[in-house]
Amino acid sequence: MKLAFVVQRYGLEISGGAEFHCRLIAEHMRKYHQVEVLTTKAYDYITWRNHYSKNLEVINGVPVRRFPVSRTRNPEKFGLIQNFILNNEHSLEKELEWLEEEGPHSPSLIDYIKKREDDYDYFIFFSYRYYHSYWGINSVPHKSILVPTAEYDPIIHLRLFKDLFRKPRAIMYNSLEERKMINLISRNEYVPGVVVGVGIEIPPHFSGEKFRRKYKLQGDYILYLGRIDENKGCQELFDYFLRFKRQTSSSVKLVLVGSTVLKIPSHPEIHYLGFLKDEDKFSALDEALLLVMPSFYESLSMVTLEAWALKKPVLANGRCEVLKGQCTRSNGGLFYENYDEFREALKLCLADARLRDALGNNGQKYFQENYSWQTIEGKYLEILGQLEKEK
Amino acid sequence: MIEKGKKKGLEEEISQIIIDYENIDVLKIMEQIRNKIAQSPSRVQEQEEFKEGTFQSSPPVGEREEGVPGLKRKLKRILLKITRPFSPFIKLLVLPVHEEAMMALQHIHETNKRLDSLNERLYQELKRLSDSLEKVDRNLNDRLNLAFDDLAKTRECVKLLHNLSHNIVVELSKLKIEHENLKLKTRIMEKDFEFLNKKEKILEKHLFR
Repeated sequence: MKLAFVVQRYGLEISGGAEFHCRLIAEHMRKYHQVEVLTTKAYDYITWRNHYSKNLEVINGVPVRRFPVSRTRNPEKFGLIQNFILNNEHSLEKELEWLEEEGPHSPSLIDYIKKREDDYDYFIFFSYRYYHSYWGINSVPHKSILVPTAEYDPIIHLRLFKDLFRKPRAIMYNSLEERKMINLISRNEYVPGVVVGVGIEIPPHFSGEKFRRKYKLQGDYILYLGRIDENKGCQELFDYFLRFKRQTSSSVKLVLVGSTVLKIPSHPEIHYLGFLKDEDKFSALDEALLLVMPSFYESLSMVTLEAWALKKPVLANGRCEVLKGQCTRSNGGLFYENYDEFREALKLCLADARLRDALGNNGQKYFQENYSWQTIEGKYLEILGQLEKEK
Repeated sequence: MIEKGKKKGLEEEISQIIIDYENIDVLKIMEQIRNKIAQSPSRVQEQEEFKEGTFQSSPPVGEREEGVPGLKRKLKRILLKITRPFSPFIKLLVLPVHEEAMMALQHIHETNKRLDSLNERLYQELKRLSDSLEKVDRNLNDRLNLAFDDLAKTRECVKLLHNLSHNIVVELSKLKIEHENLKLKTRIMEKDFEFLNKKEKILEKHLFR
């Protein structure tokens, strides 16, 4: 069987959730089927400017075909259109205009899919909201599998997506909450779907001691991993953490790891370490008391799974249904919906090592039961087998 | 020392939350945390304000006894006199019940406050929902009106097309009859020609004999 993974960006240096998710699945499915990745030459997700020069390359054993982005995104124009469609009655044409601007605008990728349709058994599209998924699925609906990676974002209510979710042969959801939301929006229960998610790759060697020496970190800390962005709830996290420090006598520090698009408050107890390699990232996680996950919009949260894989408890934003659901199902983390709850939950976690251990153990058990690679690969193979039978 | 003090304080806080470490239930822990927040000092202060407001405005006990008949009043005074030496003991016995009642009252007050805020939120959500529904309804009506206009036009067109096809059928029937008549006439004319040909040949024979 030949599978094409279609995604907006692809590369070892790309850390975006859906892109990384796609890379991991493609690399793992290589064991069972012939795999190829179809993507664009973009690296930057704001403008989608062409960055990669090669048309074909092999990354970790997976052939990657890159297609040029014919029109870069104008963020201001995009913002205006998005604002209009979210706040006004509008036509389908306007939504398609939004999609063109959303990008990555790569008609040559879609042409390739149309022309070479017979060369592939299935096209697995990642991220529902982009140009490649919409036009790709509309070009080859009978061979499409969608991995929506959808979060509760108002854009999901656009009419064009309602139809989109009804078209693929199957949908691989990231969480029960994501499935429920998409079913509710598009009434697509009849489309075969399975909650899969993604596994994670733990580096073979990482050392907390080395990490502490390298970054001169002393004392207990809680960790935030990921893009430091207002949409990820980081501004609220800073406010809450600084209030927590003012109101309690706790000596705990907040360590931030990831690229930033937000001004980080200058405070002796807030340490920003920048974007780290996997080894350092896991070392940081291994030394942390807990992972704090303040994001409002998540379809899965791979860093939460990484924390659980290392038996670390999580303190998550309960206003994100997915995070709350994951914490409740796993019993691997506490959650908060306002500052008071943040303060009390954090205080409890910091003071009670036994609770942290118990939450961490539950998280790891949940991770092993649901997100081990054996389980993930099995679910993909099962759905592919089911589709083959229906042929 | 300070560290010890802090630790002790934290331990006291933990002890307020009951955790079954062997069988962790995050929802139960969160529920306890929420209850704890509801009883936190800032809230207690609000409760005290509430107490002052409500209890002081309620009528004093003596006033409520104004309607009690004279005999009962006398009996009560006597009983009070008899029990006066034991009153500290009675108060001591009643204290736990009193505290429990006060706690319950505090809980009820907290619950009421939460209900009020939830009601407020519900009201706002309902208002927002009703606005959205109104907007959707308006848009839907506009769209429906347009769709009905289109439908009426389409109906007219269908009616006209129906008449047209009926007329075409009639015309086609007439043409068919005409066609049959012409075919008949052609056949008669062919026979006439044959007869004339025969006649011509016979006449030629007679003329050239």
